[in-house]
Amino acid sequence: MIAPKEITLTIDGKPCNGTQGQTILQVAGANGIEIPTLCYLKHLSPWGGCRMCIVEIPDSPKVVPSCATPAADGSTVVTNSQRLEGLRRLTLELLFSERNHVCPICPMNKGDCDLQQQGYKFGIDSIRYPYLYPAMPIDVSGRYFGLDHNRCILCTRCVRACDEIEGVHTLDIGNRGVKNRIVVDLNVTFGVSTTCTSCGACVAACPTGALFDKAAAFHGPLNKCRSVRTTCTECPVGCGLVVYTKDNRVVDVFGDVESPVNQGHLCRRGRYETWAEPRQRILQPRVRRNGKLVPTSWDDAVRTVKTLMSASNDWQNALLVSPRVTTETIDALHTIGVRFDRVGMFVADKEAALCTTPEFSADSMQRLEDTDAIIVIGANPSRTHGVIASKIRTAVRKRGAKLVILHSRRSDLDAYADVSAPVISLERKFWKQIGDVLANVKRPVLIYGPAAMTTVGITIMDRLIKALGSNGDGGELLAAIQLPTSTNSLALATAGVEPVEDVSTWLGAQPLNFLHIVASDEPDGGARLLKEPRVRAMLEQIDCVVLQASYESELTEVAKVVLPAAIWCEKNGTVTNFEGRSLPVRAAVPLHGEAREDGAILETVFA
Amino acid sequence: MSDKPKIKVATAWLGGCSGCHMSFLDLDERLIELAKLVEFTASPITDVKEIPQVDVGIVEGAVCNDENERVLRTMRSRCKVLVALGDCALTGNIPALRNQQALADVLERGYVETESTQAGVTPSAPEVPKLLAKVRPIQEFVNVDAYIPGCPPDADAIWYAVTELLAGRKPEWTPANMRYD
Amino acid sequence: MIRTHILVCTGTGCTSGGSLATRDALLAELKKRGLDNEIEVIETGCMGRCDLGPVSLVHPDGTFYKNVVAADVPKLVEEHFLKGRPYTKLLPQDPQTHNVVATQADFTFFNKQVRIVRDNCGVIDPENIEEYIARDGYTALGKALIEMKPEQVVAEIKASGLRGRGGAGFPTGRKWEIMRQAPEFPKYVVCNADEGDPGAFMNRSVLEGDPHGVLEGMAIGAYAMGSNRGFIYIRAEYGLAVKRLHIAIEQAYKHGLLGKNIFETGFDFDVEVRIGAGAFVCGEETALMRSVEGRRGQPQPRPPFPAQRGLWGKPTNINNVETWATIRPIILRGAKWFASIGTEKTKGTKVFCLAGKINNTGVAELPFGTTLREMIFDVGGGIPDGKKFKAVQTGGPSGGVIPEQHLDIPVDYESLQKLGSIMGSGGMVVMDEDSCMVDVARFFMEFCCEESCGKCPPCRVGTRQMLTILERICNGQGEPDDIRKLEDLAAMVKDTSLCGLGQTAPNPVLTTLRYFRDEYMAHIMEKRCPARVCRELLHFEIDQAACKGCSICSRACPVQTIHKVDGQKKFYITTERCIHCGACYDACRFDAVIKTSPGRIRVAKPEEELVAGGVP
Repeated sequence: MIAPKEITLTIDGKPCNGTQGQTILQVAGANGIEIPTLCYLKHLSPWGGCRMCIVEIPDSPKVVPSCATPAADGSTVVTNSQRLEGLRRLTLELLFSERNHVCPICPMNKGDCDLQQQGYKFGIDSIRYPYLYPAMPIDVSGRYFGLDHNRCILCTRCVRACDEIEGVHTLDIGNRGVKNRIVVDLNVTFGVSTTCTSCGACVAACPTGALFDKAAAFHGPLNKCRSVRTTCTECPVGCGLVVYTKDNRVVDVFGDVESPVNQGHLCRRGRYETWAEPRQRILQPRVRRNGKLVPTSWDDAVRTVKTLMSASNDWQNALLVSPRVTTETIDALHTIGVRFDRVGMFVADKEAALCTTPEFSADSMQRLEDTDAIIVIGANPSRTHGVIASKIRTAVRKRGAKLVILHSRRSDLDAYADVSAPVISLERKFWKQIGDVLANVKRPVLIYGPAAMTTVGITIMDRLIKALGSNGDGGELLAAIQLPTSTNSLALATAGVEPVEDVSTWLGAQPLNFLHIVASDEPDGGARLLKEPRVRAMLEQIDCVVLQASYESELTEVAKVVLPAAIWCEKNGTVTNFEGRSLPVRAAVPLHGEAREDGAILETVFA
Repeated sequence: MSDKPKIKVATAWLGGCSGCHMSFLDLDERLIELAKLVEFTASPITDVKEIPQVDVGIVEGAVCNDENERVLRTMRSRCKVLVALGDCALTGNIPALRNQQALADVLERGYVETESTQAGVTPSAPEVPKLLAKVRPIQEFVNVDAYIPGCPPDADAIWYAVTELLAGRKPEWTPANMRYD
Repeated sequence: MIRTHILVCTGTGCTSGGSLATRDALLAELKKRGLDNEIEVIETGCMGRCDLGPVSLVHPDGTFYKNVVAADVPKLVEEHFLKGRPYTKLLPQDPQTHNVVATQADFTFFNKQVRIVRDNCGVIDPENIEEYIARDGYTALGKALIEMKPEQVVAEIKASGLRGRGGAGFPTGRKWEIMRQAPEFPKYVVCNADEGDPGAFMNRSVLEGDPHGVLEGMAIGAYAMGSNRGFIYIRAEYGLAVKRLHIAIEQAYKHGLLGKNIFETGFDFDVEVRIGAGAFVCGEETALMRSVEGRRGQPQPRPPFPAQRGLWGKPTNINNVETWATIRPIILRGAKWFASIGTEKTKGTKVFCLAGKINNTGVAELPFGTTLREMIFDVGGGIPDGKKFKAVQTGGPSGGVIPEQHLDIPVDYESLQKLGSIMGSGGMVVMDEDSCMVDVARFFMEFCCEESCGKCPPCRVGTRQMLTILERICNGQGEPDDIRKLEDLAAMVKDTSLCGLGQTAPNPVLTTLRYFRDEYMAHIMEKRCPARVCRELLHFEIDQAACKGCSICSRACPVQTIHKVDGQKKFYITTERCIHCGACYDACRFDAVIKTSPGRIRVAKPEEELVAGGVP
């Protein structure tokens, strides 16, 4: 690869170095010269619409937007002059006069409003032109965020984020001139949008209070909040998070732009479900007395468990953990595991087969960035791994990558696929199509999930690997990415913990006297264990069931002892994502109530 | 105490919450210092209604009704320097939110529809000031010489502006001393 | 044996005037009289005098008939074709001498014109490729493909000095050269037929009258620039032009003049028509390209220029209809010939649309360097009703007004720009003494405000704020500071806007302020509209001496404010209740209603909206 040509230009009298292809704004930024912007956002294509980043270049009577103008070698650029200052000031005045930009009652008056910042910077204390006061609607029909058109400056950062990052293009602009408005789909509301994934990329991109998180609204300035960088533990992708807290409560969650995994993008699960959904926490240890769970102290609860466990030496003891636990908790399992006859982890549907051959696929996210063909088998990323789904969509829509999907559930990704089969099948007509579609690909990526681990699925994958591995003129071999459903299941499997998919069989293998369930912060409190109807009866047969969980569920009904566990934002430790990266989980708030971290509980109870 | 004649100041409270005047009182002990230099004439603080000829007129609030407009124009004609105090005077701010609705709907909502009004009627007595179709900031009616942004401006911002004005300068706002909220 | 042709204009203007019925009547009448073997009826494109439509031209004698409706046809056939004398009732009059004009050659409107682009318009049947071929059609393409290398074609266009007719006047040859040198493939050529200026219809008249001329120019350009695919972007409102383009393209394909291996030279060229949805901004080339791609038509910053990154990211060349139509004559007759017409910097001819307060409304092709005075008073026949000329708006809503003292400048890109206006598409809207220049500025600003795409704040909000100020000046609520506010905004919108729409939108305001500042001052300071146009500033009363008491004014008044005083015969207007609509003024047959703008110091009533604004 040829290194891009070095260029030198003079910006505001200062010699600045850059490379061919960079914009004036990028070169200026790299050389410590700040140019005001509004519609510009790193990672998004330049728009050149807000006219704040205008600069003067020689031989041009017109000013040009530095965000969209390539830097020319040897040129002279002026970013700050009285004329530019005046033009920018007037642009701001016009923006302020256009709609309602009343800060005191803005849900996003958080100190990170770009318009407000620019207003302060230019000392805008009055507007010479009449306010237009249009009556624009406010769309609060979406589950997690609202859109107040009155605060919109039409910078289209949301439109571009929706299109270029999440890849769904739910948002665009409707109408003309001052009647311009951001539209959802074909001018519907968020609540009925069929394409919006609620990923929140638009909200994160919005420079004003036009798009706002409902749960984060009116929590005051973000710069007065504590912020913690941590990792999302909702799925095995392991996206970086920045969690804002105030008074020991989570008040907003953003993607971590510096994360190598997600570069700031998140999905609905990571960005909202963890904190903007009402869930009932378990905050105190409880012990069943006379058939009723009654609150008690930790000491009493621990004593109760210990007593019950040592009731008889003949007792069969078992430990069942959720795959969401941190790697440190897994380490703790090693020491305490000896106390149990059996240790298992309750994985998601069909995930057990995947966990028997755990494989980490290094740099998968990077591979998805420049692949020219993606084959998805037995996985449903748009439901479970939103950030991967966004990578697939953008690969298809922006780079023209081919997409083949074989799975048993339909998803919005089918619409982008060249071949989309509802079943994982060897039918000849599919093979013909798939062969045609993948005929000339150079850097294919295979993503396979739990449902691919059937005889047919494995045969298909073998065939694909054979076919694509020998594809063309020494093209790279197919990259196969294993995509489990549960957060840390691959790490647990690697550590030798037995994956349990069929709970009733596992429970029925040998009669149990004592079962300790670590449901951790499973959103359903571990209730999915009860999905098979006979499991409940089997659990009731066990002399003692101890439940360690964060959220209330039906499972507590069969427990003798309930222990409160920490949730995602209270934990410290690491998780290993599907690429094999060890990612930090950091507590953003102190432990709530009497909750304790999973590892600590296990050590206290069983050490 | 110097013999220098005191600067005469009048303040007016148009359509606003009076928070800016409250914030003015937050000058606390600086008020004593200020009192040495200026004389307050008509003001909601002194409860003097008739505005005399003054050097500085300070106006809080947006122009919502004909009385506001009359007071504003009187103030302008009787002061040398007119200062807009707070966001309502500067931008219309919260009172201007009603501009999104038709005036009749606003009155209907306020006097008839609400839970606390039974058989309510919109007041129509001639002595009640008439609402303007749209609430507007004061600079859309008269020339304004200086602005103090904030909702309300905090006492430090007011003090800065007042001292600058007393020194014969127009206050310059920077990110360090400026707030819209 | 055909001895005579009668050409019936079937352009949009004449068609709406009933020219199709005229054609049918002519065919029937000629048949009835047994003349159908001697006299052929030919439908043509626009002849340029839409205001006289339906118009017809008799060949070879050149008699030009106006307002030929079907009912006049029997008499016309009898007089002209049987008795052999012109049917004087349908002959036009010279607006200044009032003499009857017998032939097209005697008509000043026509005889000053130099027809290069519109050579075939109004002469051939645009729906018949044979007629086009008979007039050397596609010869230029053949010459270019067989005798010339692509570089030579580019060189020829460069040497001709042709400049883009879309408005900016960029040298076409240079543009082609940049495109030719672009290293990427495929390349696209585009014909910009998104003519959106109010009162401009030159592109439409060319497309309706001679669609093959445009296609041939595009094919030559594609060959010269190394492209094999072209698009014609035309607005949906131009139904007839779209239809004729489709017919022309189909015929050209059938004759092997488009498609694969044209003239057996191995050169392929395909053309597609793309219909625009009527957004003015889509005439801007970057917005046009996005629209062709099927996206929202909004301009993009340049650079990168279309020749670097255009349609689907590939090099693209966009030229206006007129530019494309000029290619064929240049190739056919040579660059030297073309360069001999026009001014030093601007060569060739331009099609202008004369509209507004002018006698000869229509399309006229004139060489660059013609003065505005010649255009308006010779070709245009002057101002109707003996009124005084006040100003001419050139270049559509993005142009500026030019007052009487500058009428003698020779028109080209530079001279108009120097006066604060632009060439634009070539529209000329003439205004007489009854036009209020503040109102004119308001009208054009309203257009720009409506048509702003909204991408950049200077254009989106700036035009809206300028309109707000202009509206309040027209309503008599202007303040002395308003002129400075307008000027500040106009300068800012001009400098800061992203595309040509915003950059030129302030021109009408700036030029009216430059040449007619006194009218603004009269509106603001005296609350008076000197041209008696701005409704809020008018005053109506009835001249008692002239009033005949006929009551027509009273009946016309929508607010019933004109009454008789008891016992008297004459009518009075109750001024307090008058809404200044002017219905009485228009209704009165005795000039008894007097319209004045006396001026007054207006005191704003508290309950009324003090400043216009707000978006409905």
